[in-house]
Amino acid sequence: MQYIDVSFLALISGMVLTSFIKNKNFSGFITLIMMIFSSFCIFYFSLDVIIENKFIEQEIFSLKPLLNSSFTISIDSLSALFLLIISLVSFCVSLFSWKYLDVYKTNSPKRFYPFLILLFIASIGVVSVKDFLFFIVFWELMTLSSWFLVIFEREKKSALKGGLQYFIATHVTTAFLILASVILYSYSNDFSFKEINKSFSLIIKNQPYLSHFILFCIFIAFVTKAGVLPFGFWLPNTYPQPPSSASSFFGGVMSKLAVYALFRFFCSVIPFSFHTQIWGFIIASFGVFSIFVGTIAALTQDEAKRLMSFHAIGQVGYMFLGIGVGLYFIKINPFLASIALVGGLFHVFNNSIYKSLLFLNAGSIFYKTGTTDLNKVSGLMKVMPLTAITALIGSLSIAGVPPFNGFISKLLIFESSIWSAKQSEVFFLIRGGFIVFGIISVFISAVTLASFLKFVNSAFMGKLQGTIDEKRNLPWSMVLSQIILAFICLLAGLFPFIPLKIIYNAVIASSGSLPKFSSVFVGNMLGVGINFVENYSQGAWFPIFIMIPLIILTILIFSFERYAKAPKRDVETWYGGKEHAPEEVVYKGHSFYQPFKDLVSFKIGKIQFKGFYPVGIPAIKFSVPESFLKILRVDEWLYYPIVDKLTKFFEFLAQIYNSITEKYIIWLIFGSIFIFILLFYFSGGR
Amino acid sequence: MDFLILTLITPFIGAFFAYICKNKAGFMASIFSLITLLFGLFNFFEISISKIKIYYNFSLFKWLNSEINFGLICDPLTSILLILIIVIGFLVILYSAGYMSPLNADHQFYKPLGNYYFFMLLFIGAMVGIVTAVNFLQLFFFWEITTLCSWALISYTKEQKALFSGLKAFIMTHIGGLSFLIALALMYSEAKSFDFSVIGSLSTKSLVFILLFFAASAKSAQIPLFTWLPDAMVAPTPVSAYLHAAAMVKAGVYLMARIYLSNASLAESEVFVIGIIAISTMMVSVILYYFQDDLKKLLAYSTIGHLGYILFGISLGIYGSKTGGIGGIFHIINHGFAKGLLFLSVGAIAYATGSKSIRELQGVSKRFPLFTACFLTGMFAIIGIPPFSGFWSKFMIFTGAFELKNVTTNLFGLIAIFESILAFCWYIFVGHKVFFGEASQKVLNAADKIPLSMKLSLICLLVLNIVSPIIGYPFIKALLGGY
Repeated sequence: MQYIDVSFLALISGMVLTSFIKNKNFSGFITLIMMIFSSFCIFYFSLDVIIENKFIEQEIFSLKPLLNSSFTISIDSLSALFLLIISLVSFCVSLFSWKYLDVYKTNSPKRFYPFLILLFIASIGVVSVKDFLFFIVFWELMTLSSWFLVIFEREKKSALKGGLQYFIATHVTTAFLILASVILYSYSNDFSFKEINKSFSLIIKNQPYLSHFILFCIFIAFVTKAGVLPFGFWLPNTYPQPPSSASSFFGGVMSKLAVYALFRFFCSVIPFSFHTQIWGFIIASFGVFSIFVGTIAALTQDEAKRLMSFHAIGQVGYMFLGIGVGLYFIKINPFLASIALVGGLFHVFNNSIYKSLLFLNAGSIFYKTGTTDLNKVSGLMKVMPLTAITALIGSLSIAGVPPFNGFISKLLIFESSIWSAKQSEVFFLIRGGFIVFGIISVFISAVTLASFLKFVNSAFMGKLQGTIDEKRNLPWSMVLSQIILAFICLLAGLFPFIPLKIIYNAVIASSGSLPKFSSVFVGNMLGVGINFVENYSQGAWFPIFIMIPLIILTILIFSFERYAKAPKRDVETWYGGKEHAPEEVVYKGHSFYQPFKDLVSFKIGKIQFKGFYPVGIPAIKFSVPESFLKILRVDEWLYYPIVDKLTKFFEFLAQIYNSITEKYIIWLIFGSIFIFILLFYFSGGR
Repeated sequence: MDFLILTLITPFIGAFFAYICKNKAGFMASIFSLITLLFGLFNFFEISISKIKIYYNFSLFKWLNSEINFGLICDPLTSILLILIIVIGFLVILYSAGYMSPLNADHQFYKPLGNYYFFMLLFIGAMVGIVTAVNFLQLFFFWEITTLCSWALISYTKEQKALFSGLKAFIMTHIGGLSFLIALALMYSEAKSFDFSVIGSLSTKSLVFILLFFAASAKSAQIPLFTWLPDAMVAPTPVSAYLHAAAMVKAGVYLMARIYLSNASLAESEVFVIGIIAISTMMVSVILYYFQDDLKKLLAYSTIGHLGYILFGISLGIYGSKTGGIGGIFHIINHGFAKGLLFLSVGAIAYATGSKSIRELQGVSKRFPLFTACFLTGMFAIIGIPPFSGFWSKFMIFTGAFELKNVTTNLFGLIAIFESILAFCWYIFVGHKVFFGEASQKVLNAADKIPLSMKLSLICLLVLNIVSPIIGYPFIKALLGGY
């Protein structure tokens, strides 16, 4: 238990120290030391919790008499899973940032590192509290610190616009979350998740519309943060803006924390009922919408980081699809539900690893050439071979190509959504819906592969064409962090049993009513078989048995080539008889998939859609009619006229006292007569 | 030693000395306000947090044929406001020592400044008098002194607009004072006493309560008498920071809080009235500040809205929700520190660049990182973003609104959340425009040298702003326990 306190302390001291240091190297180094310390603590601690299926609880302080809530760090296996992810990604991110900030010559690291560490602290806080009030506190703290990172380059207009959209969108939806929390408090008089769970069944029974409203508020808050379209409109404008290491943390961890929050709320806070099914279907459909539009829009993008932000939107849709299917079937067919939920969560784990890796790759490209525009860079494999290999591994993982880790989680999600066809208890339209979702997600998997082939080919393959003549060598720290992430991808893909067991523990710990691991997944270290119903295997995947012959074949072929000593020669590209300069005919990033791009671009009204995504929305003008504002300015129509009238009245009265003696005498006479009459009246004739 | 009476008397003595030493007025004023601050702090060390102590029960006015006790009271509610008044009082006077100088690009101030410091110290003394008053009559006495000081300080620069705004403020707050006087008369004629808890036992309970609420709303700029506050922004910025953010407008809500805490039985219709006025003030203020160009007017409308929040919280407390009432009182201290910080940083920007207009100021953050940090901290505290102070008190008010499960309070709570979102949007937009981006012409020509006293008070207030929930928490916990 002491481990998490130690890591918090290390992080806070790191934050305080780096706010005063101006030297980039030194402050990066301090961050790295603190991060190593705290990452190892958290990693060890969370592995401990998961493997032994423990439940840790420690109270820090309590607001008991005022509001019934307390700041308690309570960690179960689901939180521990996310702590694992956070520790891995934060370690690699800080290792990368150490030398990466040298690119930003005019911006001081005082504006970067404290907020980065604050973001780490806030993320750890979000997953470790089980109390609604403090959850909101850490959630908003996460938004605040990431906003500071987004506007790191304060002079760039795009950074400011992205930051503004981000902050407004997330804060407005957090207000919905606050509304939901106070309504729930009024019924349960306690902010902790357990108590809310108990009283929520009352709300469902007595006021079903209110419970739907509360679920809507919770849903919209998390869905906006995750970036699911159409609520996530801010994401493509925001994720490219901060330095790449921060973007990597955003794309790798922050959007996944929204998925964690949704999973936690729908499994632990809200009891399982018919509502869960309805919302499960809604979550799944929004997920599929996001998959479809996000990935197709990503095909049309030319700038590396924007491309990856769109893919972040698409991939988060996969997670929501898995979780939605799981929530729908959790009472009907627990086997199917467990596979879907495990698929969704495993996809979260995989995605954080390879998304961070891909953003770090974009960062390396920026470090080397000064730009991330895919039209301007090519052939970087010759100057950064290791980065190119990790980029290839990342791209194949995200596309779901075996033997990397993306494959197994996507397989679970596809299978679970299509297997719903066999559930005869379910209404057939809903079954049809799930099957269509499954088909769309398989199709989009291919589109993802296409899009990343574009990325890898334009940036790394081809002839080396430098647009920037200044070529720095990549520091070893940046390369090392990417290699670590790529290695984890490979490892999780080759031995899927280990992560599956971990994630299954996490799912059981939070939702509780699922079958045991051994009846759902059978297998051992080498591979895994999947059961959708009891004792009936529906599929199996043994990566090692496939990789070994492939590796043997590869070694054989390479050794043949080396032995044969076949001569190699370089030739000029043949342009069919015409003379061209190489720059005119090179196949740039823009040129990929042109016919497909024309197919999915159209115009509705005044808005141009490229790849189902609107480009250049006109700004919304907001103004209140002038007459309404006039009513509110009370001065002009109420007070000043009254004062004017009063003043005129007093001036009129003052005319009584002109300096004419006769007038005074007449007043005296009439006044005294009046007083005598009054005296007679009051004395009653005595 | 009884530090409370010393805390009350020192500012008055200091005002006298500041008026006499005309050229060293700033220095004398700072010393005296520091002494007041120290006496106040010693006072807190002497009484532990939840004890209520009444000093000096002596009765004057023997010819009124009744036992009216005057004295000083110091319970948790008083302590919260006392911290706010004397700490911000000292920091504002320290700030003025640097701000009121001929180098001020916004408005040059020339010595002798004896008048200014005289009225400021008088004001601090009057505010201490209000919060330590033990019955309504004593409170009224000091109430009218604050009206007088506000009039003098707003018209300090003696320009046409300033004179008119000062007169307007004086008349509007004095109309409130008139209704206070009528309420006092009614109270005395029936119950022969001016105690705080006497309202519950009157037969004309509602009338007296409404009159007192009218007085409080005139002072705290609620509907209908709210138009004096935006016009009062022609005062020098330290005056705005103190009077119209941290102290004078808090006198009205203090009166309402005191009535809430001392009376257990008040009818529901009055609560409804307070609720309606508070909520409509919030909405009006948020609409009116949406298109303001002047930074100080923006902050003035925002103050009006937040006072509406506090009154809404107190009305929830009267209606029966403890969390709402305590949240309202907590918001007093959070809002006071945050608004003070905002006003002082706007003043500092005006000192350096000579402009308070949003259109003319852009890209301030590169040249003045300290002012940016101060404004952003104050802004986050006002909007209600955790873990800053404004979040906790606003959250308690929302909780209180929904806790009662009453349709009216639910509706009010929804409107309050909606207003919070609207306010946030405009604040963040203004913050982006003014502080980030390319530096504009006025900013580039700005003076470099900012006086040390201004920087010092800004840094102190920045730190205080961040720890203000921790400072206020023991006091409001005590209020809950002892209620």
